[in-house]
Amino acid sequence: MNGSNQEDFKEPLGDWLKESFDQFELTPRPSTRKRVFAALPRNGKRLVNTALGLLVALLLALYFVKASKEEVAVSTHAGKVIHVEKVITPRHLVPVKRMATSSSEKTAPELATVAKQPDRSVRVAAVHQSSKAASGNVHNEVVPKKNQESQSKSQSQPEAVHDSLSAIPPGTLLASLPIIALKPLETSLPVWPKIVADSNAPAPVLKKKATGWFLSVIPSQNFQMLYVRSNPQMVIENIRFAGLSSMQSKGIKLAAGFERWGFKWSAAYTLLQYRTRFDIGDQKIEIEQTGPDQYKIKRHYTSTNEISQDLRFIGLGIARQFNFRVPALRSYSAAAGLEYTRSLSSDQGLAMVNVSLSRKLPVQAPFQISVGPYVEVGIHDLKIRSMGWHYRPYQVGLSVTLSGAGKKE
Amino acid sequence: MLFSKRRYNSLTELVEGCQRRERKAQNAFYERYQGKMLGICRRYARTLSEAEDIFQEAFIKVFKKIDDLHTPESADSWVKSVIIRTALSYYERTTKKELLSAQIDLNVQDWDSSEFTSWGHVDIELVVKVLSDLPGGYRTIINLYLIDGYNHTEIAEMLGIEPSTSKSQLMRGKKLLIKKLQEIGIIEDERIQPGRL
Repeated sequence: MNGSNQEDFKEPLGDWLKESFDQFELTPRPSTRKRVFAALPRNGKRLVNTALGLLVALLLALYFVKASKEEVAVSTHAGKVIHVEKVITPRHLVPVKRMATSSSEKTAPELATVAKQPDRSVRVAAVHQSSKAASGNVHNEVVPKKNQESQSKSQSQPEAVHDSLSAIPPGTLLASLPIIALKPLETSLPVWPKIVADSNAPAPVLKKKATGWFLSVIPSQNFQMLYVRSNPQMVIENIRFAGLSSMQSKGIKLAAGFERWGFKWSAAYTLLQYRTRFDIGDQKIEIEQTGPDQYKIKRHYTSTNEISQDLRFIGLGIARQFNFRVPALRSYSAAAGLEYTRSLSSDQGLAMVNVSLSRKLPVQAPFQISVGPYVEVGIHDLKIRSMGWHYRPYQVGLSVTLSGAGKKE
Repeated sequence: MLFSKRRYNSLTELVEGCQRRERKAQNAFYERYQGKMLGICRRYARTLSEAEDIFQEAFIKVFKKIDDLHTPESADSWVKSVIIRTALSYYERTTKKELLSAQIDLNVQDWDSSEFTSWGHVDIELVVKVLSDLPGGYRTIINLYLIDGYNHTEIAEMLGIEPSTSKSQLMRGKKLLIKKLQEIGIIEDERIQPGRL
């Protein structure tokens, strides 16, 4: 092709052919274009990764909001509210624990336990709610060194109090004070709900009139029943599907919604990827003699064809939630539902029925994680338009659902 | 950027878009090459249907292997090369034996094509039909040597034959081609009809 065929440098036949074919073009049929693009791998990973990223971000955001609310006010059984105010100080400042009364009345101070935080100082103000109306509020503070120094003028003889307290034997002092075992403030960052080990308590069941929410991720393996409908131009027996490489498919479903009246109402995004490879034979046959009076007849084939189809659906679903009452099955639930989705990549809709069984993992209230098998079956066909084929998909996957209780009525 | 129409102002941008698997770039790339490349496939194929099969297979290869194209400016020749090699691969499965063993009584007088200097323009469909009717081996070598400009060494390497075989096949192919051109009246009395060429 580099024009190096100078052996017959004067080749009028070649020049004439070159000139004749120089502008020779043909327009392929639109179906050829469809087949070419159907066989190309689509960049679907980006979309799936984005969707997964959004889901994770949403889960984290929900948990952060929840955790920050819990951090604002921690109730104690004595009816006190510990107000926590974080004071950020430079790392080199070590918090100094001092107790001082802010009130002129000399009532017994109440102690608050302060978590060890090497690089943060925390001021804890314990306020006795029951004595709000009373004139003498007790105010115990643990302040950073600098803050404490700046406030020392307004405080009444903290050193004297400190000395008097240190004079009392520790056992006597502790016994005389209504110390409540507070949950230590380990960190200001929220932590993932702890899975309760060895819990015999039944998993919480959402009341019918209460509203809950849920988020699900369902990776799945897809299968399909393929229908090749014959027509006078098609010779079906010439089609040979590649063995292991045919029908490769996978999918993922992301669903979110709410639960009420015993039903789950959801919006879902579904990605189904299908890869099907096959050969189509042509009319030529090859006869090879393999022995005396023995022949092997082999049909020629055109080439390996591959249909690659990524289907993206957005749909709405409803499912009935069943919570078992039998004690042995109380930690399990089942759901059966119907979903209707529309394809984003082609003008097709698909109705599917789904069934799932979940094991409810006990986690910190109000969350619940359910894990279990999930089966979904299409109840009508999808089309591969470029080939005129129909198929009915069905998926088997693993459902992982995070749910939580919402507003009760 | 999300909803704006992406434009590719140069072949380099277009190729780079295809390498990023951008569907718009692939569409534009397909638009650019579809006509010319199907024309090449048609020359190597017996029928239009076969040409479309080769074209489809070749274009899928082009998009899948476009990462191998390191100099986007040479995309034209690279795409053509992929198309031709796909056509050869396609026919390797069906016509290689024919190429090596075809014995056709050409019964054509020795004909020195260099005598003819005035080859005019003909109905290209007729020429395509003549090419299509040639045995696969002759058609392949005529395409490779006379039209696409490969030399016998390159052809021998591509087809897995000896250069001498390529030369002899070319001679036979040329004779058969001329005979067929004569039969349909493009060449008359060993000369080309002035009015049709």
